[in-house]
Amino acid sequence: MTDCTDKELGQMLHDYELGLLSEDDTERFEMHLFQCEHCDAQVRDFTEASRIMTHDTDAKELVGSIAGKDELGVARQRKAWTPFTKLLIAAVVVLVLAVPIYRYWLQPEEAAVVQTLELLPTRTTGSDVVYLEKGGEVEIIFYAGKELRASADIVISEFEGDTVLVKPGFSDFNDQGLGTLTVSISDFREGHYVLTIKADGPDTDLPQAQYMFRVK
Amino acid sequence: MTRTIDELHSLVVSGDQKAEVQLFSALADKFRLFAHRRVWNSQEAEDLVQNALMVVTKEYLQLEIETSFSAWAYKVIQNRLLAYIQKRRREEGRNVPDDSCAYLAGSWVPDPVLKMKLLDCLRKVGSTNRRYARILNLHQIGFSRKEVCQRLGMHLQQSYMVMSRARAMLRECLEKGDISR
Repeated sequence: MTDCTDKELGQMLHDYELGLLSEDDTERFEMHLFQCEHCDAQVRDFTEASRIMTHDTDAKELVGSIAGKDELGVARQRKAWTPFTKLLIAAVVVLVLAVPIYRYWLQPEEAAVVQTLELLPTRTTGSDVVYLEKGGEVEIIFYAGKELRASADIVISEFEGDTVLVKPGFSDFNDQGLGTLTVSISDFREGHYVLTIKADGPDTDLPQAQYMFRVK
Repeated sequence: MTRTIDELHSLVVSGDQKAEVQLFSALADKFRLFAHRRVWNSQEAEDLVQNALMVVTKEYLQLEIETSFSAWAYKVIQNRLLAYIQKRRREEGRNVPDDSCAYLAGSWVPDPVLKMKLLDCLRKVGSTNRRYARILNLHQIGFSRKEVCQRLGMHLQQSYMVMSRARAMLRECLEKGDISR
């Protein structure tokens, strides 16, 4: 009989027979069988014995008993990982993770009280500081002019700090010139902020107005 | 010396009609080997082989093969086998391994004489080559080859060598009734 044409692949012969190769290696070995008469003959010769070794309970038990106590603990440990156990563990993990998420989902409902920040003309000259609770949304109501025809840019900056929010081109005003804008301040840190309304057009009462508020 | 399938294919392409018969005979032989390994029902395995051969017959002369004829032909049978196993898996609604039709093993009865001899030889080989028995057992437990190697402190190539040697001993034992120590 001829020799194996590829010794490296030829070494996988018994693993192939017993179905122990990975999918990729099985493919490589079967491609090798196209070229190698030696391995082809060996596989055919051992087919029935391979089937007994891979599917006969007595053969499996015999192998287990020869391997002996070395793997006894391992077997017990492995057998514990049955599909049911895995499923159970997965369910517990999902539950544990879901509880905080569930609470988190509820929290915005509870905390999403819309606060109102009324920036009406009376405040434009005052030094009042409006306090807002950290988190949730704030409904900013501001007065921009009786006959506003243009839009307004709204900018919120940290007091003497970075701009944290820009809402350009706001134009949703009612007949009285009151605009209502809802913004989320969930990401705002505690501290003072300045809200600037820049309104275009000659007819606006507030070409530029600034308000201060504090998040606590 | 027997020609390989790719050599036979080259002859057929160059116009050798005798080689065509040899090519399909050799191809059927290979296809049967792969099919019977995965599909233990002989009739169903043969249907798959014939189906794959039909595809090859229809397409092999028109096709522009980029790699080799045997690689292409292998894909033809492999795709049919995989599709068959997936279909059976859907029908049976349980986990059938990709690489084998173990679900057909229920109707399979091993040759009792061979089984007795094999069990005797396995006992002898396993006692002599303990690492072989441990590799097999760890696989049965569910470890991958990488995990088996880590556990037994050996390289992958080493594990293949252990398997090869053990197989040679098993064959010797099956032929002679014992192993030379």
